[in-house]
Amino acid sequence: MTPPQQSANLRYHERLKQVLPGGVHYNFNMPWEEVPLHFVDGRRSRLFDMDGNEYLDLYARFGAMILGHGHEEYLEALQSAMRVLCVSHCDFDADPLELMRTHIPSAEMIRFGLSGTEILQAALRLARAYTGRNRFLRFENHYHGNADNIMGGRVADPANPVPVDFKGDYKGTDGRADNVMADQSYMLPWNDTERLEAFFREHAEELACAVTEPVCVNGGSIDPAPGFLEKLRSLCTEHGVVLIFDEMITGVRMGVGGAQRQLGVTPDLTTFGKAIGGGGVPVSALAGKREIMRLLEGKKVIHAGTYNGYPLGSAAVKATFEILSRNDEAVLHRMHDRASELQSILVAAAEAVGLPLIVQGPPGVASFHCCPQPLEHPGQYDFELMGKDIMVATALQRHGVLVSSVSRIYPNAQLSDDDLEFFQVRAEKALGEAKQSIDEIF
Amino acid sequence: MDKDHITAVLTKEIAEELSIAPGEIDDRASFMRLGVSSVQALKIINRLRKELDIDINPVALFEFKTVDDISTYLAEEHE
Repeated sequence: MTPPQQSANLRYHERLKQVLPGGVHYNFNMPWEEVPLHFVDGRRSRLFDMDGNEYLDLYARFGAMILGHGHEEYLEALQSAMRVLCVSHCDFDADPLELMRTHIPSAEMIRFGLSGTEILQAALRLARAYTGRNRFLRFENHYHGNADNIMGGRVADPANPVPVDFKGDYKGTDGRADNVMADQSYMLPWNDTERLEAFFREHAEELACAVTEPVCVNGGSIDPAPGFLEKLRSLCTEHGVVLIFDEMITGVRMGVGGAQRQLGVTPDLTTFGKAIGGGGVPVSALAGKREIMRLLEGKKVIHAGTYNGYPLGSAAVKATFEILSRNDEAVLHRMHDRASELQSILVAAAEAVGLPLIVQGPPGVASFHCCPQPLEHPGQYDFELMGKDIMVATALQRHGVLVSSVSRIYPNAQLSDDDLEFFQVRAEKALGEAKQSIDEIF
Repeated sequence: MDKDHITAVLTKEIAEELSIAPGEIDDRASFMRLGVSSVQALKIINRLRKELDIDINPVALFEFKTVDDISTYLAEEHE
């Protein structure tokens, strides 16, 4: 198929690159996306670029846009909040905080921040203060923000599982402080209960906390193995280690109670971001047990930020939780149902062209993979499979369907039957092309 | 692994993909400038993986922007 017309996008991008490094405000776009799309309009589940091309938006700004584009009730709430923005310390906080506490099992107390990176660092600081220990445990192919101490790396020596820099790391960066990962943390494979137990036997007394995505969305939307999170919970309790769930993605996408309510495992602290503010404004949140969160009182532990708890953000969280929790989360149930239908269309289209493809993970945070069986741990998401997934993702984009990196499918609350039809028409053609490229390459 | 060998294999694969002579490829020119598309990049990486029997991240061609960059990286990774 002839790629869509991109001349206006190209011209604008050239202009932008003169003043904006790379023409984007972040680095985790596909490295070969020399010309990111620039959008001029968004309606419900659709986006329109500068050349007038229409897209079904399953990218949703890395999952943040859970309400879709131009959600009337949400916009009205934001507009109403804007009228009192000149007032600091508004009476905007109690409602969203109480709503979150009602639904999220770990949320006895909550603080708002702005970004996921920043709020995760606040969680680490709190855990260190609470336990008097320094190190944290994280897991391979999980993602917890772009701070020096927690992004990328790999374990060179399994006998001493500290993450270290390596060349070619997609999440590696020049300019990282020396030894910051090795000095502060350990890293283990996820879903490996045996390794986890052995590690805790040897190192538990060094750990302030263990941090995990409850569903490893960043590693390919991999569900926790039966009993894994429960074992992690019990080991943390036994050894006085603070358990942190990073629910930046799973947050409200799996339900307003987060993955923790769905999975029945309650962490000590939880970090939220992205979709909790509906996607229009940035808000992150640190929620947790009262006895830990109270260290933030009296400046025992500092958590600061000029815009923390800003009125527009608090109004956005309130509106998002009200919309999504209403009538027993009817909007989310409908979104999940439509997402499941869309995933079935994708699988059927792959089958029709003879491409092995599965979709895995909960419907609000699922990923597709070009393989016959679901992945069981993030280490299975190897480079060859990632390469094949990239071929499908780029083919879908050429046909007007945007997914998030690498192969995540983020539905929104306004996903409609019309969107499913739009997808169906394009999916088979896109997958036909992808199959051809994959056969040629692999 | 010898860097010169990697450079030679990589240059050959790029030349083949772009239907140009290996001598026309500047070691220090970016792949983007050479006109390598994402599909071609993955083809080149995959052939390189098979020919050198090593694992290569599919984004490597674009993380390391020239033949020289990627050859240096692979040589160091597989010492």
